[in-house]
Amino acid sequence: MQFWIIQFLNSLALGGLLFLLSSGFSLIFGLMRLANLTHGAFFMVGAYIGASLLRQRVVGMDLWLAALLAGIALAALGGLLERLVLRRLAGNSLGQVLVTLGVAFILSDACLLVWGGDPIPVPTPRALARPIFFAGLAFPTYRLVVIVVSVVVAVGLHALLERTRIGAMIRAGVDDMPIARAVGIRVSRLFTAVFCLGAGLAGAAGVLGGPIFSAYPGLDADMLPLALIVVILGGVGSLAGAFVGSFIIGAIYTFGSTLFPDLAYFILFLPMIVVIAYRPEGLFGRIAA
Amino acid sequence: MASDALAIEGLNAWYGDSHVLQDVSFRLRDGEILALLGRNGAGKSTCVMSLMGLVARRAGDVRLFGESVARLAPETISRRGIGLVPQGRRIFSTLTVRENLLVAKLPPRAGRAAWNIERIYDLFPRLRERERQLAGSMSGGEQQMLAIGRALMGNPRVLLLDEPSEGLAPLIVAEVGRTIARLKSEGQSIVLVEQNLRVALDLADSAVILTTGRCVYAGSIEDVRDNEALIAQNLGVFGGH
Repeated sequence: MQFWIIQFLNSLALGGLLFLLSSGFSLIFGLMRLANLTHGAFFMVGAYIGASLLRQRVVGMDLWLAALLAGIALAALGGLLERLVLRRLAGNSLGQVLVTLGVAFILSDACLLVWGGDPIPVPTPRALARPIFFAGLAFPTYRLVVIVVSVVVAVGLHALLERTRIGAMIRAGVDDMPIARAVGIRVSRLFTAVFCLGAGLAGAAGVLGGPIFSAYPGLDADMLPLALIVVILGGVGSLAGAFVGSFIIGAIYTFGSTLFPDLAYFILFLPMIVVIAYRPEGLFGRIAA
Repeated sequence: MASDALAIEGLNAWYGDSHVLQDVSFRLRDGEILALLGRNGAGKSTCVMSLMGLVARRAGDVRLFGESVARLAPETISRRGIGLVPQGRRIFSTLTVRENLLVAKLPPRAGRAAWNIERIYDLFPRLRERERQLAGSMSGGEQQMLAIGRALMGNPRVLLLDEPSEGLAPLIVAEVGRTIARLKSEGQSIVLVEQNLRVALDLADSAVILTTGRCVYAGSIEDVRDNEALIAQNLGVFGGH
């Protein structure tokens, strides 16, 4: 029983982190038709920033403050990337793929240069390190907190997208870009805003994922495919799709790698293949991936 | 003397290698309706999309009340005062009716009563009833009203209406026609693309006829009405469909 509870919470925590990562990825893809392959690197840079901040005993940095700072740093980095580089590649899918992948390599190497090749464990905040005991079973507190945070962010993003004028403008842009421009929506500003938001969420997710994954070289390449699968499964540009897809993939990945370690990747990609074959627009999407 | 709301000089547009609009020139006077006529594929929609900046490869000059907007981005053209009701309506189908109007709201223009959601609902009471409904779930006629309302929310100085009666039931066509007449009575300058010649003849002050991307007629609407040869040659059967 304890085993299943731990695995279940692990899968939900992974799902929550995947949601923080893939919601931005999905919005960027849906609005800008841009598969931002730098997204995994944003997560990793966030994890390293978090590791550096949290390990400084002198400052005694709070986890939430670290996540906020990493989020702001990555949002700024993402904004620069969008304004200075990606903007010039509008409509050029191959160019976008190559450039975002190239920037991912650059960031990855930069991390190696700054933080070295050894994994940096990130301490779980002391207040959250002790499990909660309930009905004679132990529940890892930090996992529970990550799950709650991801749900809170999901609710916040939903409110932003569904309840505000800016959110309606973003959806209008996803729905019909040329007409959105023709009714006066400044899509270029929306692009930057959404890109910053997505990059910031990925960076903050990296910090929150630190105590679970640590910060290590290759974290970016481990996370990016998961985000891709989530978005293909859930549907491009759909927040609900990213949410449901994240928890499905979180569960498949966690249970798959525990119960059938040899088949973990196969089990992971299987639902994606089924979705592409039978419902190319994803579970909640409107655009074929 | 009335000033030109829109002056188009030597407008050209291409889709890939095909030169679909060739040296089109015409003028729309302030407060009038200009009917842009022609058969399917004559270049009417391309012309409208070019005016809105939505055709990537284009050349020539477009002046809105004397100010050139030819090289601007669509969102800037929209903000300068050209409003578009596109062919096929193209309302944001995943947004509610209210959101469709809300996202298109632009600042009012000096000297004219500003459009707002309440005024649009007064113009089309049906939209008020369907306010919270997803726009894509509405009938074609309701979507057309929404597309017109959405364009008006930008307080356009010139309104481009691309086939507003296409695919609608006769009763709805009549309602759309009355709305256009009402907008004109309030001083709205309009370019009206129309396959339904009767609608165009009823509403317009002047006409431009395109044939295979070229302008073959630009003048008063009366001369079109009386010129059966011109109609037969360039517009097909009188009355349209």
